[in-house]
This record gives sequence, structure tokens and C-alpha cells, in this order.
Amino acid sequence: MGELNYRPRRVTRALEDKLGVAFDDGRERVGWYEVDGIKRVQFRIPKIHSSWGIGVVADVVRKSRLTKPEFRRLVACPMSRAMYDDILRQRLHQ
Amino acid sequence: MTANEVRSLVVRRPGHPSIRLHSVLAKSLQGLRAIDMKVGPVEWTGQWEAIDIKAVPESTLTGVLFLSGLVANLCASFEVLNVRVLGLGAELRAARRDIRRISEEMRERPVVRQISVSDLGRPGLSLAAPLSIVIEEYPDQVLARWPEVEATGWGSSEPEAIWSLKQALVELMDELSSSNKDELGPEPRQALQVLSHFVRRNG
Repeated sequence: MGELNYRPRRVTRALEDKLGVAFDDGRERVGWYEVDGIKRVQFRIPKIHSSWGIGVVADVVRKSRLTKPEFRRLVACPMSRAMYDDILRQRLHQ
Repeated sequence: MTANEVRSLVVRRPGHPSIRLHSVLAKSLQGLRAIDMKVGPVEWTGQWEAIDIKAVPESTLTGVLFLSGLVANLCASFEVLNVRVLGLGAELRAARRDIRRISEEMRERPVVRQISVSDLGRPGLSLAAPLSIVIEEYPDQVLARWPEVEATGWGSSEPEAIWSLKQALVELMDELSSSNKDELGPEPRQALQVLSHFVRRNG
């Protein structure tokens, strides 16, 4: 199995539940990852599942600033929001 | 005792050195019995068996000895061959795993190139300079990215992906422009700055 082979629902759920990204309901789903109420990273994902592909997942991973193994941990649950916050604070320029 | 139970035989004959026969020659033993060679009682000693042959013609014994050596050598060769085949099987399985992993990695590694975009396809908006965007071709879709502002579009073809990226850029600019600047972190603020530099509102 490839490292980017995820079901769209799992990725969306990880972004929403773990990172608190609130997606809007536009033509494409757009939402922000916020730290202390400040918008930091914008995620944009397809609204319909058929538009998902490896490229979209790769883009989400890239924007999350996580490595592929870290992203797997995020989606598979071991990584909490707090752990992600710590990683992102280190990787985003302040 | 059956032919399969016999792994090796030690044939003892009075006045002659003992001869060790390989298991495959069990049938030969049965053959010896069949032609009434006066084979003595069979002594089972675990892995080995010893029999005393009281009267066996010299030519028969020589033939058996020759065959025994031949078969023993053949068996040893087969043993080596078997180990090699098993080793090759393991290597083949490992190679298959590697090929599967590499093909997965290749599938996730896009063909990347850069192209220029000179408009946003939206009336009232123009670009001060062409945007150098990245096209990433995956087996199942195409991505168009403008890394400066982390905007991405996608589609099943390059034109679709570029169109999607243009939409994303316009929407991002609209959203950032209308946002309270205090709510924007350094990254979106910088994106807005870049977008303001490149995108011009006409009229």
C-alpha cells in the first residue's frame, strides 16, 4: 500500500476532528487551521469524493507540514491536536 | 520396516568392512530380501539400521556399493539444489515486495514541470506579471500549484487543474482581502502581500 493511499473521509475527518479545520460548503471545501484564533494554514479539498486522488492527498500532507509517516499517525489517531500544534509551531515561521 | 522408514543402512558382512547405504536404497534391501540373500535380523537404532548380510555375492555387493555411492552423491546434490532453490524463492519474494513498494512510490511521485500563466480568466482581474506555476502529473489526476501562496488546483487534465488553480487564487485573494488582518497569521498575510503584488483589479 502506498503512503498516500487514504480514503477521503479519513483525511477530512482528521482535518476536522483533530485539527479543528472548519470547512465551508462552497464549490470546493476550504477551511483554515488556526492557532490561538489566528489563521495559519489553508486547506482546500474537493467536495466530491470522485475528485480525490493521490495528488490531493499529497497536497494536504504538504500543507500540513507533516512528513508522510507523521501524517499517517495523524490520520490513524495516535497524533493528537496538541502534538500537531507542537510540530507546526516548530515548522511554521513565527 | 518400510522403505520410507529406512534412512540409512549399515551393511555388515563377516570379514568385510561395513558399508553404509543411503535411504533411497531401501528398495534395494527389499530386493535383496526378495532374492533370498539370507538377510539377518534388522536392528533399528533410531536414525540408523544395521543388518548383517551373511551371504551376498561379491558382484552384487559391489553393485550395491556403487549404486549407494551414486545415489548418495545425487541426493547430496539434490539437497544443495533444494537449499539453493529455497534461497532463490526467498529472494524472489523479497524482490516482488521491493517492486511493489517501488511502483507504489513511483505512483506517488508526480511528473513535475513549470509553466507560465498570464491571466486569471476572470473579467476585472489581470496579472501584473505571469505566474510561474507548477504542474504535477499523478497517474490519476493533475495538480496545478502556485507555491508562493500555497494555492492548489486539481483536475483530470492540465487545463482543468489550471482553471481550478485560478479559481483558488481568486477565492483566496477575496477571502484574505476581506479578512480582519489581525486574524491572519504570517503565512496568509504574506500570501495576501504576494497576491496584491501580482493581481490587479481593473476599473
